[in-house]
Amino acid sequence: MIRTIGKLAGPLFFVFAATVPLWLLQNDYLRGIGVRALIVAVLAVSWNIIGGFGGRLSFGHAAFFGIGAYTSSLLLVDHGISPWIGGVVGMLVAAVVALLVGLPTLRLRGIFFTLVTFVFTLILLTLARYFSGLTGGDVGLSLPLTEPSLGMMQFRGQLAYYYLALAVLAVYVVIAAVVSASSFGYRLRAIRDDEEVAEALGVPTTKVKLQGFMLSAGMAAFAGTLAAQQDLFIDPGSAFGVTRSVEIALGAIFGGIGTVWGPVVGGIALVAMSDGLNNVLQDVFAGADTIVYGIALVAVALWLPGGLASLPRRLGLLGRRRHAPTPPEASMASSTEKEHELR
Amino acid sequence: MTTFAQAAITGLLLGGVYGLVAMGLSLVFGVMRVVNFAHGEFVLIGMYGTLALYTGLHLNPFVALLIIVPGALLLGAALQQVLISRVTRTTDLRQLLLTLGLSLIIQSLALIIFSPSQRSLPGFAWGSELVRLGPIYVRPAHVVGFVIAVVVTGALALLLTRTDLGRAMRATVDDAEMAESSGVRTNRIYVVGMAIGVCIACIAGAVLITYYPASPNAGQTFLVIAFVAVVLAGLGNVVGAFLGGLMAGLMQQFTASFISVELQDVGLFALFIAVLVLRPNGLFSRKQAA
Repeated sequence: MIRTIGKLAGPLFFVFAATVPLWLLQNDYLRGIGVRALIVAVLAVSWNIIGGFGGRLSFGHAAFFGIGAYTSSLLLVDHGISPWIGGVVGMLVAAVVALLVGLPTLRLRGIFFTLVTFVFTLILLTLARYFSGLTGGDVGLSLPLTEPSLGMMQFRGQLAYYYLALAVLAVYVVIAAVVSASSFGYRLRAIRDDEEVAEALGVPTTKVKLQGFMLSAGMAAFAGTLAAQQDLFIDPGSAFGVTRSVEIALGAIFGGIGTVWGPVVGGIALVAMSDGLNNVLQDVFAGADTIVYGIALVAVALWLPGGLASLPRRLGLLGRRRHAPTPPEASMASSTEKEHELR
Repeated sequence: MTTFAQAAITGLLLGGVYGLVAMGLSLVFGVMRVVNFAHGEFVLIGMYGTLALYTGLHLNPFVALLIIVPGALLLGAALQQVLISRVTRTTDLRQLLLTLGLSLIIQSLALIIFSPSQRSLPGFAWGSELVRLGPIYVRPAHVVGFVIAVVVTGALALLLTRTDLGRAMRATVDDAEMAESSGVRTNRIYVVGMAIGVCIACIAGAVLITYYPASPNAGQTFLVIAFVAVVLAGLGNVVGAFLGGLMAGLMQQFTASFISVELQDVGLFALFIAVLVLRPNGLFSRKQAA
């Protein structure tokens, strides 16, 4: 019974989300926030592939978001190529970059991967500012206005962007669900839970982690294209900034790391919270979203390491434990202990 | 040749302070296994604290250390006691989230209190005037900062090797459970470790403000430099991190002198990634890659 409801809940969520602009987000400003929320959800779902299933925490996923945004934008500005093609090229570039970054670092202990992703994104930030001839530097890059059309991924008004982002999110959730249920997903989780045992059981651990990272990076890149098209503008700070990286990881972690739906809920909830507070406090001080992210991070660390997705179980709402994979918080503990032993 | 000598001297002088920041980070990692993403913001607290003492009480920034040091020790101990103790020895994820969250909160508070603009000490000349030494120039603040860095490093090395507290700390670094069972009160060691880590970071901040303008994002810059220095030395190698800081300073200055000032951090990060790829346990370690 519960499982039938579980199966229906997915499609129902998207039907519900499709009606939201009709009764809640009734003007363009609110719809713009809606698009942002969906894009962060898209990014969180992407991050979750390597961060949640694979247990390798990237604090630099803005790198791939930015690569996607700049690839499609530059192809559009310099060559008039449709962002659809540019977006796909961006995904490929991001996957190749993920391969190059992951190859030396994914065989090391998890913390090195976290540090390298963090620092690598800062390199891209500096480079994007330095090569201002190509990227426009800190001034940013404005995308040319074209006739609004689906083919050029450009519309007047936010409603079309909303449905476009929602469609991408739906595709990504399906990808995440398929990965989660596939043998690839089980291998990723096996590596997260105990890398040595996984290796001993014949899982090619480095290869699986690399595949997960490349998939995650490619998926995040398309969100960059979406965001660039929504704003028709991109600059180094918004593309490669630390806040962006934090937003991506936090969306997934806040919702429920390693679950299919957690990142969707977490990403949307995060933007709703921070934008809400920004609005309330805009006369008091700027940058309320940063402090919201900070407080959310501390709160999750102290009280809710499983994210929102673990709330029902914590509150005892689900009497019986459903057919669920190991709660990631528990399994990550074991991998840390092991690392501790290995030292 | 003069350019080379100039870059080497400036790199070493700046690198000493980077080494300070890195030692604090390395100590906290070594003792508690926490990669402290808020470490840069402790540098920031030192910078703004000194700025406030200078503008409010007209204290010389190096004299202000007499107030900054005890304040920072208290802050570190309190943070460990109240917040960080709740995630030490849990998962990597929770530690990263907590320290990253702290860093964002401190940054936002700095933004609210001190505004986003760059602030330096008004009318304090040590950081800007140049003193000629033969063919090269040095800034007095760089020299004083370097001397302070060396003194603090020496003191920390003595503390770690010559005192019971230091021995207990090193035992905790090597194996917390073993140390506990031999009678070391590890929870107390964690509090001391965090207090010293925060204190060193604040000292570095107090030195930095004399020649580097404070802004809410400045902490991040030093966090990343400290990451580089710590990885160069090997995670948890506390005194080695000071040498790592010197190398980071040299690398930054050489890139700035011979390639481009805007790319000085790229040179640094490239060194970081190269070391991680080639010698993930650090330059000074004999162990093989984990």
